[in-house]
Amino acid sequence: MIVLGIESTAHTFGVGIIDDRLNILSDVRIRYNPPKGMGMEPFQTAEYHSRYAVDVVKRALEESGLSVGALDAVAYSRGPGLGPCLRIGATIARALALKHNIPLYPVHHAIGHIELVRSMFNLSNPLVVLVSGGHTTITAFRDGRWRSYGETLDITVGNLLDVFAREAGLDFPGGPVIERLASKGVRYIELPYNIKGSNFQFSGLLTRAVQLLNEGRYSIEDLSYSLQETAFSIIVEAAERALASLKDDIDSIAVTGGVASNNTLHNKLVEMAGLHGLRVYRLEKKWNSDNGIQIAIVGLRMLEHGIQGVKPEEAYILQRWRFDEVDIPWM
Amino acid sequence: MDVVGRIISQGELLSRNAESDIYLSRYLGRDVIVKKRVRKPYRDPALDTRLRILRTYREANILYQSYKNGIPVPRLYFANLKLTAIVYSFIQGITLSSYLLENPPDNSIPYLREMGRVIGRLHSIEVVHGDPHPANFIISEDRLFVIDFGLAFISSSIKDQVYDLDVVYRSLYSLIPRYANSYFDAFLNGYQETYYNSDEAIKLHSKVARMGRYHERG
Repeated sequence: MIVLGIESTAHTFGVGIIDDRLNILSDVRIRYNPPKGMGMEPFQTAEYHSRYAVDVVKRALEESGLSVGALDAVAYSRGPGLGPCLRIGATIARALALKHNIPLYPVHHAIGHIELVRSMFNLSNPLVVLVSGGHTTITAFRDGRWRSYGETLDITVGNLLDVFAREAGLDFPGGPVIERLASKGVRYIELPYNIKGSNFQFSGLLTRAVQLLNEGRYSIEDLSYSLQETAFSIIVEAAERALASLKDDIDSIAVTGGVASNNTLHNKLVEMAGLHGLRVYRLEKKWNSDNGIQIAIVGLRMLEHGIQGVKPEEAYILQRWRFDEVDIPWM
Repeated sequence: MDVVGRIISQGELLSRNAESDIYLSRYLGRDVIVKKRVRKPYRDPALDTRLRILRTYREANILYQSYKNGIPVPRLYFANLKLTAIVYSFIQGITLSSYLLENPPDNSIPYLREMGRVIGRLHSIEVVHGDPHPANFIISEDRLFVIDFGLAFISSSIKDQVYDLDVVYRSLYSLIPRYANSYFDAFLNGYQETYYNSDEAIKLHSKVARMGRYHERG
């Protein structure tokens, strides 16, 4: 079985092809980078995607050496994400499915991140720490769904890093630049640390960090260090609390999403996991970022499990869609 | 060595929690619990120390205020900020979460109502518990005690109180999805009995209940 997946929730438009032995046959993607000092504007991002989308599909097929006829299904990211971007992916997926008469699977973007790391390491009962621009969530599988055991109540950690970087005149995405600066930071500056039960918030932290940045009293290195320290300690503490509430059920920790590539966060997770005798699993950098394979692999699971695809005319998008509303019958 | 240090050294380590080590020890012929917040290797030392001292102080203060107001909480004996440890009475019993998992709704509902009453009384004295998960309630000789004020804070803001309601809602939902809604209703019934401002809090909760990202907001 061979499935093509299309990712287009935000900055990345990606197409990936995978087979049922989890061989990655192709992975092609483009990324929209907003002008310096600006955020991702949905329509500009979508316009960028629409310019290259067909080309990306073609290149993905070329790379795999397959013709469209060899595909058994097409999967697309239904949401959550930027409406105009989602529509580009959905439109192309519909066209492919309709023209070649193959099943069409709508996929939740976050489930894609989770399923990819779970499958590639063959994890049976992981605590998944999903950290990206769209999600910041601690999740575990129970009763047929991935459930939230702690999540941000406002902005995501990716958001936090991007906006701080933007305010400081740094490049997009902010994470890697901030990590580099933070490695030269020497002093911890006190910042708001908000945990409410198992959930947490970052907007107060962002406001204060930007305030201190504008005051100019502290170096950008120390501020970056303190911002990372605070945000990542909150995430790792939330993960540790989730672990405590789930106790013995959990046999590993997986970290995924764009911010998973941050080594400072990864090291903190490894230290915490060590206290509980657990290992932390993380994919190679490029698989933490948004990609078509994460969508294809969920499509593959649905196909393998005999789930009916949607009719092209019903292949909607959902800008707001929680991963804990998605039934996962294949686990 | 001061008295708290001695109580710790005579105690037996019961469990390692997310943020603290819990010891069972004796003080003046009674069983007592020592909760010692431990250093987390993954946190910057300055941040770590600040958090541990702040949380120890806050927990001791709130535990004492709640006890003084007759709310069923453990009785505080000592707080030592240098050791980031507090000592309080041991409540013998089973946690509400294990009770809920092992009992049918008919048995569980009265405890959920009582849980609501307890949280209502805390909110009446402007204490937000911060983590009112059923695992933090102990059934002891038919009374329901609330423990672990590690994330509690003083606030009269309805918005903060709504967080407690939300933690209850979410924890019931992840513990027993099947009965979560009816259990939460029972909880709210009890809450209304003891908290004068409950209607406002419940109204706000149903409005923002679905905080977190990507909820449909009607």
